[in-house]
Amino acid sequence: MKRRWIIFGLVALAALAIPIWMIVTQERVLAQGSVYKFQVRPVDPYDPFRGRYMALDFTEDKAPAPGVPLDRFYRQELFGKVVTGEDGFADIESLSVKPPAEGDYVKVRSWGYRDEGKVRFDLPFDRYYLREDMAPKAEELLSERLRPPEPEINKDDEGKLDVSPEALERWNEQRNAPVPGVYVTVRVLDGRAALEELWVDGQPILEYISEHEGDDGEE
Amino acid sequence: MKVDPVRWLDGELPRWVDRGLVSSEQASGIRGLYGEAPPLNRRLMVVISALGALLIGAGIILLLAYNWNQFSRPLRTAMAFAPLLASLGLTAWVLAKRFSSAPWREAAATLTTLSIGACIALVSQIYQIPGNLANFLLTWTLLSLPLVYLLDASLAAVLYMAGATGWCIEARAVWSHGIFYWPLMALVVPHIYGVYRREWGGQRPAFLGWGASLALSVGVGVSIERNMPGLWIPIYASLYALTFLVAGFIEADQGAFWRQPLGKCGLIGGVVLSLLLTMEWPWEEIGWHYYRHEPPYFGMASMVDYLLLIVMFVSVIVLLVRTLYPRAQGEWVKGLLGLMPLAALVGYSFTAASELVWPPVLFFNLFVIGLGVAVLGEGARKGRLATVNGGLAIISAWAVFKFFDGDLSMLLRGLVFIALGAAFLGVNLVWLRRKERQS
Repeated sequence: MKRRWIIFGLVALAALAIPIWMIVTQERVLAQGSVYKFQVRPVDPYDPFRGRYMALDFTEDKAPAPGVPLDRFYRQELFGKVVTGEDGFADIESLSVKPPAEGDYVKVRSWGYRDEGKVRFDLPFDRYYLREDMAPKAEELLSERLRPPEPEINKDDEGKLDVSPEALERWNEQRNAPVPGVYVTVRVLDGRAALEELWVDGQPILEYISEHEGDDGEE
Repeated sequence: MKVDPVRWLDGELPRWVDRGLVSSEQASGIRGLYGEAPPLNRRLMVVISALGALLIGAGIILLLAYNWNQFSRPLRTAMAFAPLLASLGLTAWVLAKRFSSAPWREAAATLTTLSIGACIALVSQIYQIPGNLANFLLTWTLLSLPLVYLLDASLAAVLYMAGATGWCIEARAVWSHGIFYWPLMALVVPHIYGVYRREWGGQRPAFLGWGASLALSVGVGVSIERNMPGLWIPIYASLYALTFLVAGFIEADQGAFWRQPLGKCGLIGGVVLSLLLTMEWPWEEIGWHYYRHEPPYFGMASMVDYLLLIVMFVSVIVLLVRTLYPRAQGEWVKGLLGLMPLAALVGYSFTAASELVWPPVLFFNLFVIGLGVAVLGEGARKGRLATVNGGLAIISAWAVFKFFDGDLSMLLRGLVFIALGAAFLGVNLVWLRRKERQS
């Protein structure tokens, strides 16, 4: 009987401790972390609004990884050094296996793909949670902005598709270009990143939605 | 529907008095020991009350959800923890006051399991905490495991198996390995074993049997590494043969369909697998010549594939010998299913070495028909129409598969279908007439 209560106590403790630990860790980062702005780019494949959250994709997706041994298909956890660029937005300066000795850094996941000598990675914050009835409104207001541009496909005189390397490169640049006026602020502390807010044209997303809903205002 | 005991006593006492078993005074004395019988519609009232409470609860949740963004973060956090705290409180009360009641224990364990997942998910959303689904499922599953043993709760055990399988699916989807699936599933085995021992033939073993069979049907395929293409064929053949043979030792031979989870899953799984193996694509490009060295296939994790095959295969052989020796007469179904892993392994090895696909395809076409005939014959022998129809259904399923096979002539397919339809009708008619004559 006593053993039963001991087990119950341990179960209750563990069940409560895990979410509390998640909150405490996140709150600490939000309170003490340095702020960085990450630019959002068009979401690919095009399906940014999935139920309760909006998928995010960022222009910061590759960086040099000097001396890091990378295997192509294994998901590796690496540390990306975060700095603020001249444009005021965050840059991942380099990737390393261990945390950099100084400066802020975030944990990223790399698949080992290389692109022009840099290694591709995924940032840990890839979604912004919205209330279910807000998501359709956000989609209505932002879908065109977040849509990747159509590729410029040339046709020759016989009407055959002629996808020139130059046109493909232009399309790639457009796909990876930042979405004007849309970015997230993220707090970074000891390798942890906490997504603070999604900004649209200088306003938090919820304020932007309520202001652009029309005369009936926010419901 | 069960009769209330007091109401039953009210009905029986006059009979006892009539037969002189008790005097009228004694009957009055006995009746006076118990209160009034509850009103007949009490159970209905309980159901309606529960429904009402459920609707009110759902309405409150919807109101909260509507105003979610208006609430401050601390308030939202408190609401995220509320179901978990309430279910933990319920669990404590059940432990103290209602431990002997199985429905209360199952309800407390299930509610607490669901609340744990809901709390973690809500906190992640409130605080915009990124995470991956695999870690979430693993954490949730492991946190809920102690409830299975604390409350002796089988519904929580089935939820646990579903969670472990879900974790494996997600882990493999992000190109990690799934070898921890087996230790995870092993953690719930003591509970399953205990329930089978204590309540053999009861509802709980059947419920757990279905949960385990379905979880393993998915989990085996998802967890294996597949460095060696095609090894899933003898692995799955061994799984279903083993399931079917084990059922012969721990399940009753007859009874309701749902009370024989291992037997039914083993047979149906074996039939479905055999039907798949009558096609060419499972046998193409298999074997050591096509071994996958490159990532994302983990070489070390593939040891599990070989270990699974060896353990299950050897177990099938042992159980088959025990089943058929000394009395093998009439045990065609067990014999055929028990030999399926061997046939699959031989077919696999042959095709891997020779790259010839047609021999195992031909074999499994004959195998499926043979299995259908064996099931039909067993039904006829034991006087079970459902089993006879099951055998016909297996043969018909084979015919339907072949219907879509463009290589066979339309005339042949048409004739086969007519023959099968006539067999179905004929067998059932003869059976019913025989039953009528006997009665």
